Amino acid sequence: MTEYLIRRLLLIVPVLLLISLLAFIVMEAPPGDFVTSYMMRQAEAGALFDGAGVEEGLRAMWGLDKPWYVRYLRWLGNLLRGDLGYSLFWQAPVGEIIASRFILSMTVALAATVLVWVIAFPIGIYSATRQYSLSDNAVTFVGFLGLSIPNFLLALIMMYLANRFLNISIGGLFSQKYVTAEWSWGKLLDFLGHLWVPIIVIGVAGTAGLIRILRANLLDEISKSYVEMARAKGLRETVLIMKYPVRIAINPFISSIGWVLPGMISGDVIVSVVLGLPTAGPLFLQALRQQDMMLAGAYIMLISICTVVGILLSDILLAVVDPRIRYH
Amino acid sequence: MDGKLLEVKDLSISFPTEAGVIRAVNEVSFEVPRRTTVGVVGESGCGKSVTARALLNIVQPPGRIDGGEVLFHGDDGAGEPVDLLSMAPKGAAIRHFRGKRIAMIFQDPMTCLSPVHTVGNQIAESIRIHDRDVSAGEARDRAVALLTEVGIPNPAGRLDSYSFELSGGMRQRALMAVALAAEPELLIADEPTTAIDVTIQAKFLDLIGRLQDERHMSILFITHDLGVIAEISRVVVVMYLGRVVEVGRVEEIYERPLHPYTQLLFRSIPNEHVPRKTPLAQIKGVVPDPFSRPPGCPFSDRCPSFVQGTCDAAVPPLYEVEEQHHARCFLYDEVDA
Repeated sequence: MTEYLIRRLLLIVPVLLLISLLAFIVMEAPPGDFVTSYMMRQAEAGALFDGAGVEEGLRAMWGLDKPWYVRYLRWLGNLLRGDLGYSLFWQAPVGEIIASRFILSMTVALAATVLVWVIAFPIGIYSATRQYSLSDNAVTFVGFLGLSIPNFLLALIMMYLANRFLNISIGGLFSQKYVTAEWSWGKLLDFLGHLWVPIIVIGVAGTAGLIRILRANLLDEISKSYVEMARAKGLRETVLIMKYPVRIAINPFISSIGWVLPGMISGDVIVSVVLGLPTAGPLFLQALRQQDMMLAGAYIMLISICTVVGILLSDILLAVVDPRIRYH
Repeated sequence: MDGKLLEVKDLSISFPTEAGVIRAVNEVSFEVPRRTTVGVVGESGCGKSVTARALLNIVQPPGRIDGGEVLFHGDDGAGEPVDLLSMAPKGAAIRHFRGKRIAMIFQDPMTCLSPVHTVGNQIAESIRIHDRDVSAGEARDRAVALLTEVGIPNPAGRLDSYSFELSGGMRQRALMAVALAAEPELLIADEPTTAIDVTIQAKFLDLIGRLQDERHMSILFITHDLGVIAEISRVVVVMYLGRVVEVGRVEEIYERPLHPYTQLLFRSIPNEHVPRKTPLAQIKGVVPDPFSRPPGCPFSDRCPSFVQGTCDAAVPPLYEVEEQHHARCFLYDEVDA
């Protein structure tokens, strides 16, 4: 086990290096660079520059005139020292800009994940133990509905309904007076008051999906002989369902814990834009459009690190709970 | 034979499907005497396994018990027998019987043991479900004793093993230990030897015989293997298409099978009386599918002694042809009368 752990930890290094290279290539792929899009914005704003000379000057100032591998290595070197770089658009260190937003993203995603699990587990188990009953069919119907409604549409619907019937605006994560305020009890309560909307929007599809998967896994397990054996032993039905088939049916979820969280962070970009959330997603989208490469790269690297570490944690957890994995 | 321990009366089970209702078990009756092994034999789909499950009231949906009684004569026959089918399938009353008084082992020892719980955990659970006063340590000691009793080497070490770490024969023995943990009076074994190979099978049958002698329990042994039945049981119940077609003591059934189906079954097994190179007997046709069963006697469409107008008109009753030897065939109509 220890040897396995060390091997897995060492493997993270080349994986992250490869991801950083890929991320860099992807960001370089679109034609033009930050200067091109910067000049375009300036032109739109009405500012007139004397063409080539200014562009070249800017490029030289920001180091964009160097060949790609020099820029990549410089970026990588900074990353290794914990420096995420400098955002050309915001004219501020990337770390400063992204930190608070990334933490908000994590909070929203984590809360949504917890909600999804808390709701989906009992319903999935209930549904599987009463296959094809009226309640099972009802849950299935609602589940498909939840799966097929796009998140952003749900966000729009909720905003409309809240505005129309509750006469409140539910966008954002803070009320006006707290947006720039320091953290305080008031701000925390305000934050919690806003948090439920994105959590529900993001959580609906996840809940529906999880119910379907849990139900299918559990149905597979419930028909196995060891369940019948446990029943023949005289075990109480609820106890035996929880101890045997549920215990085995949740293994796929344990193996997915690792990438559920980063998946939710990167998956809610559109929802965040629609709801006007001050999370990392909209910032990333903006950075891509402005070719603000350091900022976009930092976002991709943060998500990747979360994913790689998350998957490692999942694998360790799975080995802990499933002896069959441990012995391979 | 001692008094009866379990009595099955007119048990009927059906499975409603979209294509129609499958009548898997029809008015099945038999008895299991105390300290005796009863063998139930029949081909796949004859209803023997679902009958076994009905005895514990664990037939799973869509399966439905339509009628009949399963009477358990506890306390050495003193007092009134209790009908296990009258109890709620998920209630506390029936759970007191499951495992404690009637235990069951199933066909595939690989899938009968949980892959993520240790053998010791599953044995200790059997003990502690029915006796909450037993401490965890005590249950562990008893589990070691049980593993020793079923002939598993290094029992203390095996407690913490998972099922996939055991060989097929060892798994079947471990399963036996799980079933016997609460000291049942009746053990139902549903095809326990089907999934293990022949040499291990013989050892396992020896083990069952020994355990029965030591524990004075009754066994209901379900199999499609006539050889195994001959070796282990004293009474044989032959089933065909959800009905009992013949019941009798093992010597009588093997020496003088009465029902044409049983007769053909025995003639299809090679033995020293059949000269070499003579073809073995076959039963013509195949088992009919559940929706096109013949009218009247279920065996009528394959029977060499078929009599038109009689066999396809009604289901024959179970005639007592000799003492304690019954057959469901109109051939014995006069004998019984």
